[in-house]
Amino acid sequence: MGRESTQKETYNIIAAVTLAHHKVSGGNSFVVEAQNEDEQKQIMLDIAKAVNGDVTKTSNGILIILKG
Amino acid sequence: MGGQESIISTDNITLILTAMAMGTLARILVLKEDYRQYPSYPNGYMIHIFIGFIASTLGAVFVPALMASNWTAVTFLSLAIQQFRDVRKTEQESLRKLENTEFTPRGDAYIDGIAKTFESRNYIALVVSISTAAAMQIYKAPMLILDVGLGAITGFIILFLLKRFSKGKKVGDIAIIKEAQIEVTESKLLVDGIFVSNLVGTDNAQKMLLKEAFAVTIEPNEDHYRITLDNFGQRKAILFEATRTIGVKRYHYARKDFESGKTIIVIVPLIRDMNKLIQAVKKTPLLESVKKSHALMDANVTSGE
Repeated sequence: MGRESTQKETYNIIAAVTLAHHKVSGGNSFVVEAQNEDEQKQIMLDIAKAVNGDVTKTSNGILIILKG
Repeated sequence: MGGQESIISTDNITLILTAMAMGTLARILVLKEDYRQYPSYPNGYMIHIFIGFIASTLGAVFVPALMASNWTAVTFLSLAIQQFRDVRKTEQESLRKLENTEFTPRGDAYIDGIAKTFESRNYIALVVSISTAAAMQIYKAPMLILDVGLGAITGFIILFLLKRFSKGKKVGDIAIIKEAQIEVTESKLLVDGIFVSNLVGTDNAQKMLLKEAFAVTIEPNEDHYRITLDNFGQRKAILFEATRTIGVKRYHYARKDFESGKTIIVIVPLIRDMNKLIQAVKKTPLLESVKKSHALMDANVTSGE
């Protein structure tokens, strides 16, 4: 959420929901590979709701869930 | 000590009571409960009126004490100052503790401004009380009613002058606040074409923002007002007043656009009233700690070189 509780805005990446053609390596975040775009959206929603996070979509289609 | 000497004279009683009443009245008159709903009613009110009453009492007894060559009376004032500083500290502590319970935090700059205002209002009560007592002591009108009337008039004049002096400006005085258009493209939120956030990737968030969000732009009247409006503490204060007035359902953003100098506020409110939002932003006080005098920056005031 756009909450500016401190001057420094820090967001943690909670999870990334990818598709088969995405190459994600390493990192501390939880990465889930979905079978298709519908499943990708659904998983993203499940995680975002669970952690009350915000979602951004990268230009290559990876959905990233963040929390401030 | 003889019994007669220790009894206070009727003149002094009149003087002390009038000064106390004027000082307390001054505190009540500057204690306003406006759209900000602060201080809270009734307990917040009672605390401040009572401290104002104590301040007035200290001021009221100051003049008779001096007239009786009681020079230690000056220490009353240092006691008062210490007490008022405590008022500031208490306000700061109390407001900081509430930070986590608000829709958005007030921010340290706003808290500092509020606490200073409360401290200075007690000085108003003290000065009004001393002025009333001094006027009554100096003129010593022959009739009681004239004596009290003269003291009251002096008290009101001093209150008027102090109120004028301590009155701060508001955001609406230095900027134009307008309703703005919200757009969502993919996971980006744009207001009047200006990027605000890219954290709206879900369909629900996009729908909510498009359907329910309100956005306003704050455009400074002069370029140098950007220094004040772009200040983080000032933006927090604006966002706080906006969210306090119309509530927040989910998202709230305060962003600045360096190119146009505009500040953008976006809220998904609980109460959908654009006029209230614009009024809340307009009436947000300009914080004393972030104000800058443009005229002083231009002129070579002190060095003379």
